[in-house]
Amino acid sequence: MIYLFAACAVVWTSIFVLLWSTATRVRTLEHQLQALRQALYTDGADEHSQLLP
Amino acid sequence: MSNNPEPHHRPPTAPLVLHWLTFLSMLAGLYLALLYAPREQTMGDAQRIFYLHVPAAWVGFLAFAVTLVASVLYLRHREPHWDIVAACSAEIGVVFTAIAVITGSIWAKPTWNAWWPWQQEPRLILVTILLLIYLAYLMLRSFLPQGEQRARLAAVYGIAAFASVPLTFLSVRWWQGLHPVIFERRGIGLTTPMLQTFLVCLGAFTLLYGSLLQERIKLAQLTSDVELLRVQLLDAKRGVR
Repeated sequence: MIYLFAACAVVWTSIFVLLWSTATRVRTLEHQLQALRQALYTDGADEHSQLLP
Repeated sequence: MSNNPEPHHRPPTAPLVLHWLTFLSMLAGLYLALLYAPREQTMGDAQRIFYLHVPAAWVGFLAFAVTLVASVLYLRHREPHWDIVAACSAEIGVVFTAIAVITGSIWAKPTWNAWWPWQQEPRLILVTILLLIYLAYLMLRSFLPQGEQRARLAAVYGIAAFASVPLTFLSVRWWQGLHPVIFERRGIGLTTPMLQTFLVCLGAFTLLYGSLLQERIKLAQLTSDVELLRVQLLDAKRGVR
């Protein structure tokens, strides 16, 4: 039984870490993207409008 | 890769459905593997590791096959999207192959009385080589500067590396080791409840692979979009000065 628990722990911990790290990084990047867009559009909209898509 | 990164206001429905399907099927798989499937007479509860070990190995092979296909598509169309797909799939493949190796080792101890009986089992050596080949693929990508040259080199490596996958898969049939052959021409060495559990776990792990791949691709695209906007902002600031 101990071997089964050990295998379950390995599988579920790996999956959880992979999902959690991906989701956290996605959230951080989404915030960064929003902040960068704001900086480009509001701070420099007049001067740098040609740089925006 | 988009030149016009848009903020994500509302998550689209399809990925959410996939995530929920993955979650529910993983729960079902866990229930079936631990409670529904009958206890194997010789190995006891340790045999239940089979329902985690084989689907993890399957996802590893599937992920490397997707890396192969995406690499071929990149070389054909030169679209950066295929390079991202190949890299993300290889990352997931490495994680799941490592899971298969570790769970296999845990299962080997009560069954074969050794954690790593590599002298009697050629597949252990081949799967380790497979893992190292794809780790080298990821290292190659991280060492080279981002661009077309890296994508091209990685695609060629991704195609060549796949040769180790069928070799690892067929090693059980070619060289007789300790690994049992479950799926044979004359039948399957599983009872019906065991087969049902196995198929549900296989489906759940495949859905998990789909969910993870989707998220990793999203992550890679966001990273690229943020990098693009950073360069734009830097250029804008330089223009002001």
